[in-house]
Amino acid sequence: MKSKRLVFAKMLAAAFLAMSLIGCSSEPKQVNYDPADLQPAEEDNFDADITVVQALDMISFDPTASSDMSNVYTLANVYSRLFRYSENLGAEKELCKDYERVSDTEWHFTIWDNVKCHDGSILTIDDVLYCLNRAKDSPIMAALFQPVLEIKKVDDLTIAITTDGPYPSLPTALTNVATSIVPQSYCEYAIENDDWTHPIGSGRYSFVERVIGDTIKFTRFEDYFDQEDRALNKNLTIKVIPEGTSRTIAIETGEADFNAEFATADYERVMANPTLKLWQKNSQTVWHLGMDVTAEWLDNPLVRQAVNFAIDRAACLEVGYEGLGTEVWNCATFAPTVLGAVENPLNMYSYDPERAKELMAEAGCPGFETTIIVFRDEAERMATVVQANLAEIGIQAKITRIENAVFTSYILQHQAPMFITSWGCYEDPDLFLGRRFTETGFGGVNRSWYSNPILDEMIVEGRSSFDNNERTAVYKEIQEFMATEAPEVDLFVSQTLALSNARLKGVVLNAERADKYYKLHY
Amino acid sequence: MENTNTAAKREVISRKEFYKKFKKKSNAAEIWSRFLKNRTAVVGLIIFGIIVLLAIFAPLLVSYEEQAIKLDVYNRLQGPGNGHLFGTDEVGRDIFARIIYGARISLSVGISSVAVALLVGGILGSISGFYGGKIDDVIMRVMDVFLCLPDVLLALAIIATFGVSQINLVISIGLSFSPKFARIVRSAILTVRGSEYIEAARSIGAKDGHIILRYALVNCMGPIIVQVTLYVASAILTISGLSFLGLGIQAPTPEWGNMLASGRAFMRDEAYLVIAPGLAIFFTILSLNLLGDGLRDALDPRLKQ
Repeated sequence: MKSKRLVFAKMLAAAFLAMSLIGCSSEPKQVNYDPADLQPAEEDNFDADITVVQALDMISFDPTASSDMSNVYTLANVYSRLFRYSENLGAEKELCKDYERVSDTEWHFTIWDNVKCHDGSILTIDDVLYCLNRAKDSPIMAALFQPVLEIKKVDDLTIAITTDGPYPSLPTALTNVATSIVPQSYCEYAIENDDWTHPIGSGRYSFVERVIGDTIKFTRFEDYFDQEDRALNKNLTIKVIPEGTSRTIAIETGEADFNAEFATADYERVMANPTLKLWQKNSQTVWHLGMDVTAEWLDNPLVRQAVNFAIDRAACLEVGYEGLGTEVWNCATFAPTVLGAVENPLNMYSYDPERAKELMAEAGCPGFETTIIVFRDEAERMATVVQANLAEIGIQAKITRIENAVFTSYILQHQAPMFITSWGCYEDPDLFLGRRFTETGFGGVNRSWYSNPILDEMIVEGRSSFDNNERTAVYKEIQEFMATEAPEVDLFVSQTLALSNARLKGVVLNAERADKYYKLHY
Repeated sequence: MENTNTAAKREVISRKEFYKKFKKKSNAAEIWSRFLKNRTAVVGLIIFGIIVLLAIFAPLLVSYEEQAIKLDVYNRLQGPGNGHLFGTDEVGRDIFARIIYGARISLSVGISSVAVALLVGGILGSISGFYGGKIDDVIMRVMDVFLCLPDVLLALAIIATFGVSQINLVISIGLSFSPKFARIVRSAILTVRGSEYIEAARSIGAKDGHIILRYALVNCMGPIIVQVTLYVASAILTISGLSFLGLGIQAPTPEWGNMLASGRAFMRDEAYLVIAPGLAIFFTILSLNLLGDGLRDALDPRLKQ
């Protein structure tokens, strides 16, 4: 009898506890990102060990090896660049202390004095000169530095960059990962020995260790040149967890502090958990279906237009991102907030399978077999929709999931006739048009292998003015031209989403993804 | 006279009863009777039978094009009920339809793979066991090398080399299982190789191939049948594993492994996405294992009573 009473009392207590917890769960969880929240307080803990989880592993500590997001946001911790991303993927000063546009074609950039590297050496202007010239020769920067004629030393702290005409987006071009500054001596050693495993830079963290496919560890560099903007945590670990749900679990269980790439499949669950915070911001990340314009049938603009009409973008957004984003009808990766962006150039596209079939018939295409390459969960789900849409117009697509590290080699070997991936747009279209749709981007990020002399001329015209109104008109023309050329199907612009525990401070999101891990603290 | 007739009739009846009682059953009937006495084996047979029937009559139950393949994005992630017995998946397809069409794929590829394994392993094992000596040594050492490699790894290597397709899947699993069948068949042949009926067949001038097929293999079918049943289960598990890894059956074709893979992102909130294919794999493997165990007991001559 006594034991029955005890059981009953326990049940009552459990019910009371459950009701109390339900009562507590009405706190708001979703946090619209606000930079004003970033100001650290004196009583905060700036010596915490922070673990950040992300979906994909970095590729190499060689700055010119890859502009993959996972690589970019990892290298940003160990190397400094003249400029780094601002909130809307513009430029804000980092290693560059001051800069001046001397004339329409010449810029001067002055770096911080007495910048120490992780090995104790002093970073010189010669190191900067060497790295920028090295970047200029790399496929990643070839298009961005196409207008650059000369990079030369002015004095011990200043370099001059001369361009072949007005190049308003030069500072933003210098945010690119390939322009990361590495001491020349280390860089030469690493190239000679093909060994980038122990990177040395002048960034906020020095490198500790890397376990490929698992973790990368950094520790705060106490001699960082800008002491007012040094790391607010002691040790930073970047952990790779490919599965979206596992990343969420890592935050729930306290295994990690911050999930830089939140998977929307867990959206409802996270919103119901008062111990978590979901950070969100409108982004400039365009998810798109790319097409290799050298592949059979895809070399025909009519077939590419048919594909543009055949794809149900709303369904892709729903399946891939739980509807958290905005459909786009562009064919040149213009996110709506990019300079000169047009919502639907020529009002050309809509989801219209019948029109797609007409275009296939007009092109004389009886249908064909192809492959859709993906390397992320979201993209794989979208590919299922795309596959079904394409089947309606006679295109039989096979979905192949690969590792992100081999994506570039698939592109180089023309093994990716179709692919679904995302592209974080700079605010200035000049910084992605040249890279993505001209010959200089071949082997880099022109994954569609598209180029056209008419477009090349328009791109040059677009950058040849400091007047944004003039530039906007040119970019409208470019988007209309690209709508008919249709080298890709822009699907939607997603939101930047990140997850943390409710106590974490210093979360920074930009228009592409979570940024500036050095500000994370408790 | 009447008494004599009556006595004769009684004798006839008693003989009939005697023969009825002690008449020797056919071998198959005896095995079947022993099998039926094993309740777990019968349960396995019933479950497997239901799965096979569902697979065969799938088109009568659900539409492949409309329910198993066609997307209905705005009705995605619906729980069981509401016109969908097992709910809908992450792109709005009916899970029940995909499960029973998935059974067709799993069973057909599983059985085909084991057929390939039996053919390749059977030939090598028969030759090895029948001839012995150096031929046996060479074949078995090569088989030992392949046995060192895990099945899935070997299958992965073959698929990575020749590409992902259903035929390559059958061949890769078949080849990765064939060393096991070679061993089984070899050991079975070894037990009958010295039998009198083999000697008798030799003495009348029968050719080796004829002896292996007509006399040796026929008399060691028991263990082979049991192993076939058990390895079909293993093959189905391997297919699901490879499909889960993206190297087996490709979307949109329904297969239990790829259903598990695509549902795992949502499994914490929509557990039915993985429970349904998980249970399908579980019951199929369980039924085949029970069936295999039952057959082993039924075919084992030592268990004759």
